[in-house]
Amino acid sequence: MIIYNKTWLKNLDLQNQLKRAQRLGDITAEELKHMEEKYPVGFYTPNIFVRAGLFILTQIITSFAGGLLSLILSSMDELITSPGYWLFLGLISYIALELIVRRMHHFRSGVDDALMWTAAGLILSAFIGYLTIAQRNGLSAPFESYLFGFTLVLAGYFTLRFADMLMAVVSFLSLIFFLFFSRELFGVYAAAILPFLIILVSAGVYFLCIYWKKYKDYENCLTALRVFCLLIGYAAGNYFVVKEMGGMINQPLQEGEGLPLGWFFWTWTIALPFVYIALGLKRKEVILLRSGLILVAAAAFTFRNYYHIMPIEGALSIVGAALLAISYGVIHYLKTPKKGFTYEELDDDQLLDKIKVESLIVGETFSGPASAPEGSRMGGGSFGGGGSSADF
Amino acid sequence: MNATHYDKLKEEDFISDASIENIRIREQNPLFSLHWELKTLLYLGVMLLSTGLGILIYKNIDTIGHQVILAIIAAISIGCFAYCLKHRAPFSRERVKSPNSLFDYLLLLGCLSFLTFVGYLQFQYTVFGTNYGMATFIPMLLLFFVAYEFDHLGILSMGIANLAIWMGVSVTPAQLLSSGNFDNETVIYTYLILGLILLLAGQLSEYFNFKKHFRFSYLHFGIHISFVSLLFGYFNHYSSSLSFIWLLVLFVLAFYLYTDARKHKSFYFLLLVVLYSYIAFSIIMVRGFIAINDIGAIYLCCLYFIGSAIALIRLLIYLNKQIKAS
Repeated sequence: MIIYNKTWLKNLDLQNQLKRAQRLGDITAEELKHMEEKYPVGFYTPNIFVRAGLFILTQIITSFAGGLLSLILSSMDELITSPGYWLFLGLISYIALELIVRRMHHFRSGVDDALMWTAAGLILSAFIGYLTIAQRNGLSAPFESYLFGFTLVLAGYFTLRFADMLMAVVSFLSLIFFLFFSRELFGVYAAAILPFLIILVSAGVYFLCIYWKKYKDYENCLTALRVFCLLIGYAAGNYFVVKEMGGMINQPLQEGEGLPLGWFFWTWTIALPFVYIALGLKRKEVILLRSGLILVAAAAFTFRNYYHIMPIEGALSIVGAALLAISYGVIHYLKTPKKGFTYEELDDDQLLDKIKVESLIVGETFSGPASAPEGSRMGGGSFGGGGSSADF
Repeated sequence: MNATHYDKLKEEDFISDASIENIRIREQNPLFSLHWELKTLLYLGVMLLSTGLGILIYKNIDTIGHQVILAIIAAISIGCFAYCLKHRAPFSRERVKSPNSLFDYLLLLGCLSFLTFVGYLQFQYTVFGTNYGMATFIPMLLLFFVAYEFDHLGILSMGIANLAIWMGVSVTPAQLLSSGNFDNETVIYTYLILGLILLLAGQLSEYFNFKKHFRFSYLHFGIHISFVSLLFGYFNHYSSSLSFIWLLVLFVLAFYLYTDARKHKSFYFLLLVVLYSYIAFSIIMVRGFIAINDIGAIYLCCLYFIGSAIALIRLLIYLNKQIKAS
């Protein structure tokens, strides 16, 4: 099913492990070089900058090529507005993708990413076009059910064929949306069942991912899937989400009325992040630990949304100070590694260091000091706090 | 490493026994690093605390005594700097590795609270009067000083942003594009001068071998700012017959930076230069196609973009290979 050369994939995995071993100083550079020659990888996988550049350029090519073709065909009646034409364009992109990957051995090079998303997007648009026509003739199930059902299959196919992380995530999210929009199938108690169903499905997929660990070629996809299973599983039982979603599906709750089984959802909201963290620490699993850390924030926001114990600025200051204190304590505690934990950076990621992301993020989020007075010297200056650091 | 893997490797006799032993030891005592988690927590802590304090002051400006607030902020700032002074490594012209991330973020908190302190002084007591230049100049000086003294890239970025504020503009990229009011010629010239100053600063740090690794930050901001301002300068003078001078300057600058990036084997800068030049070149071409004013020009335009993008892809792949090989 997978399009890539399996031996190369195996060699790539081996090379990555050996490179890490070399960075840690376990094996010598000579040995590494030897192994790289012995177990070659023929993929074309450039660094992240080339990948970004090639992605943009490929998008330019595909959009102008599509535009040119449409321009030539525009004289024909209703051809370029028909879904079939979109499907045709999508299939062309897909064929180009297969050729690039098979003939030129591109592997996450930016070109294949661009073609993959273009192909998937065009095929999906074609499907939406057909669906709209079908809807005019009367459709039995809701529009979205078909839509997400199809996305699930499409993204699932791309995941299996190209082992792409994002596609894996898209297919999982489609599954969840499919369940959400197909809730009528579960009868009148849909709103009540839905949270538990989504939790069960997320948990199921999570354990499947662990079971599927033997499929090494899809390691990235499985990791990404597990993260999203943890997040979605949490969100499905989060008090705020359940309440809002329930309100959307049924009548909104009256003022002051609590959710049925409110205690369960509150426990889920508050306790689950800590369960993740505890399990992550116990099993030394990065995925669980980091998901837990992110979700603590979600739990805090949910709680604050319903109970205002103190004004926001006080909460921010106290939490900020507490975080600093906790990190200080842990760093101090881990000065020498204890119980298999260390504060030292074991395997420093070369790439991150090279583009110095951290300094840019700090510069971005803190660069607009509250101190700058209105009307600066040259005029026309506006300043302000953070922005995204999406500037690569 | 996978157990089956290294047994196999050992059989094939590619890896020495000592190395295998190393791997085996690591396998038996796996260490789990909390480095990134703790670093993120520190970052969040600094961000939340400084934001919270900022709002707290803003809201209670009339109720709490000003001196009390000032004292608290000053205490935090002094405390942070005191910690950093105690734990710092001695100054060097080369790169100084910071003792730990806690040091980095406490330094950051110290700087942030100092900025709040100065801002508060100005707001409440207008110490600098209406001389707003001074009120931004002093924080900027401090930021640059701290960045060099303690070798902190994040604070250097903040210093660069403050330099821009002092010059009357803001350089955070998001700000540059979202709120940039490029109609104003003064703003464009200011940006351009700022960009060139940053590029110069980057080159000088290398020339004088003084904190050479700061070059990246200077060049990163310098390249974006100069190219964007040159492009906007061109559009601002679009109808003028001399508008091509802007693009001419852009190509000269691009050529210089291109050779420089080749010399330093920095693919990131090379990519930026190539993409910005491509944009400028395409602008000329599109202008030409518009001037033809015929339906055929649209076809030509499409063909141009397809052809040029393919050529550029080949160029990037080629350049990447060259840089890797050298």
